[in-house]
Amino acid sequence: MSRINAIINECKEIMKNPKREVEEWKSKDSNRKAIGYFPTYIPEEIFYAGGILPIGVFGSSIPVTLANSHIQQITCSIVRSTTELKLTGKIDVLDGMIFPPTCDSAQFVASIWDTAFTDIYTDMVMFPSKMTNSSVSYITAELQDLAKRLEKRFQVTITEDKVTEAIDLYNEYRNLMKRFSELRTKEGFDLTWVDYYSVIKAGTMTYKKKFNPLLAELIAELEKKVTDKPQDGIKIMVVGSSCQIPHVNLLDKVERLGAKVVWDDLLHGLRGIEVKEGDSPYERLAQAYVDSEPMAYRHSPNKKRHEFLLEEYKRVNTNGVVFIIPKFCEPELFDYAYLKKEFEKAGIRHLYTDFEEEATVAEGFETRLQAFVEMLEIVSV
Amino acid sequence: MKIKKYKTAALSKEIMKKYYESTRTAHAEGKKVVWSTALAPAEFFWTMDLVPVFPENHAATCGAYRMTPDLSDVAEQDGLSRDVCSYVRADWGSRLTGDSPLGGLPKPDFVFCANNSCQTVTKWYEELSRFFNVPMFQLDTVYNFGEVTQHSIDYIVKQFKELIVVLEEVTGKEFDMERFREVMRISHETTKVWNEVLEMGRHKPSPITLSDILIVMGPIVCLRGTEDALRLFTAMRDEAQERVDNGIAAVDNEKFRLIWDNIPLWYALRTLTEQLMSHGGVIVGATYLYHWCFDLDEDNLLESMARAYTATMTLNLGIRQKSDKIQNLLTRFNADGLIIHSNRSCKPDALGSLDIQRRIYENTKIPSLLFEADHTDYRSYAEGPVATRIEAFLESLENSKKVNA
Repeated sequence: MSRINAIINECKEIMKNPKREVEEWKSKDSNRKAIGYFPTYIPEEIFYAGGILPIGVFGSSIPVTLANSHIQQITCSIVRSTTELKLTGKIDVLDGMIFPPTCDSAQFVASIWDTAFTDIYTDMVMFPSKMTNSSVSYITAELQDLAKRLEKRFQVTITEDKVTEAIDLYNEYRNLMKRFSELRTKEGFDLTWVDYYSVIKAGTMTYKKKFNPLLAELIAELEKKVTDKPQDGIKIMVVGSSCQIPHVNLLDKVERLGAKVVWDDLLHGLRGIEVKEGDSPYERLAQAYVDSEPMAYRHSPNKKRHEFLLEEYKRVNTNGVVFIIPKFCEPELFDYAYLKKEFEKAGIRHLYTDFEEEATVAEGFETRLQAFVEMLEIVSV
Repeated sequence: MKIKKYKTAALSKEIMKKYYESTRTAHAEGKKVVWSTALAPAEFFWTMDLVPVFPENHAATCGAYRMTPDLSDVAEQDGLSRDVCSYVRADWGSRLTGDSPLGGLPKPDFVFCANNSCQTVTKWYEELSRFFNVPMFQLDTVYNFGEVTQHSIDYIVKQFKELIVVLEEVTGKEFDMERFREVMRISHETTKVWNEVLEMGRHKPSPITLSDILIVMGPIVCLRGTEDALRLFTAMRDEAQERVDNGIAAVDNEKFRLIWDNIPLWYALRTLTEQLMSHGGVIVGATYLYHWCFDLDEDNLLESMARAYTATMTLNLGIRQKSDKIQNLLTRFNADGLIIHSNRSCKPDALGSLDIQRRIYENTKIPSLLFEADHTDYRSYAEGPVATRIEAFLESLENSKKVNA
């Protein structure tokens, strides 16, 4: 087996068994804790600085039954299936759960957890909705407050030096993720979507000191294979699933039809934040947050989302866009109505589908996808 | 059984008519128009002589006229999903077609949203800003997962100050602090009188029911901070008091005192009220109405406004606080039951209701009925089955009354 295959298999193992990762990490120091986090972004560094490992919990494909007695079926499956994971005891290894204010559903599911599951720590890190410099002092105060709440709850000490150290470790992780994601645009990159996805997901499910070297090695191996030329064939940009990596089968189908996904709008992997140098680690994290590129669920007065997406579309030299939007995801459903018009104005072809994690891939999507890819083949000759 | 109409309803209608006319003549009079969310601190606009227009009020009216499905079809054709809030779909369709029960809204020069109601409004107002090509200001009130924090209050106050600068740019006028104090004084007085109207439902029997209040409420949203609104709610309060004094109840033989949670069914106000009446049921109070009860400290205006606007009755709050407030309402109004409208269009109001039901029952033994519908899209309202469930609910209330007697 090649090193590439071995690393990917390791990532698949991590993905299948995050409990093993948490136990392994805790086994090295009895004071260590682990906490789950809901998409999309939380300041992992602050937790890590207190010896608390944040693990991504982004829904599941298990059937939702118990969660129906807490959450009505007007929310996305990510919210419901994450709650099902808790109710079926599948994430008992975690000492708590932290939610960002991604959308109305995320805010209220956090509150439902806080009310219904008193056996664990549930908290929110209240990022603002508005991405401007004027929000930085608020975020800084909120992050400092979060550190105090964690210190009190878990009897740990979170120093600025520890947070700074954690930022270095996570910066390394984010840079590697970005390099890895960018490799997709290059000729010679031949990982399937499923393999690529396994690496991205594994990165959210284990500790960075273990994951970073694995990823660095994988990148080094892949770099031996790729050239400076862009990928040939039909290249697809995926937009609209910020919270969760869409149903594996959906994107698998794209590839089975001979097209390649070379860019996605997921807030994992390619689109991490960039924490720059500065004095206070909290202020650095706050600034990085408001500086991140526009996304559906935040209000960015200074940069429009379509401007960002069009820039990326041109930069990675793509042939078409596939919108994959979770059912009931209001922020993305709003943006679709606007982005489709902007893409059409720019002469960009696109295809839309929604999905639910627990459901099978929308019937008819495969046929529509096939027609879409064929059309792209014809027009790009 | 028929609803006993309030005389004040005619005054409200007249005031709202005058208000909508004034919005349409605003531009001719050299005034600027701002489109605003319903729970926004509109006092800033009145101070600056801006004419505020409230798309949520307009959308609710579209719903009352049962126009939402047609308007929604237009929005869906334009790419908007049916899973998005029906207020937005109605507005979207109305903007594209010009169809409106009120003759349409004047174009905005500026749009303003406060996300204390939901995150939906941010996306909605981003679209309005694009559609009309006008500037937008978002007041970010931050969700209160636990207690309201001082840093979030500081953040909101900072944004009030930024808003003032933006409004000065939009209007080309200077912000007049004295005028602002006067507008806030009227607004504060109005919300106090509004609160007194709502508390009338505590009388036994109640002189007032939810639909009586909904019919007159327009000005608490659209004209809070003006003398017209103050005059209207004073008249409404006095009329309700007169009914109490004369022993006139909203429902003869009041049997079941009910509290309503979530936005009303704008297209079924009369039918639902009359259905309850025929069984001796009366909705004496509703969480929804309390969103416009703002507690202010006139000596510490901006900070107290920040506190008032970040946490309204049940919105922008965690479920514990929300549940406590509903429970307080139930006990204060001596209610027999709670009716929860699980609104497909309003996640912040609907989510958590299942846990709230359990908490409230555990604490008070007051039972509740939860059914799914939509505030303006009647296609999501299964009228027959809901009617049957309401009947069964009232029957069970009757039985438990007998058992406890």
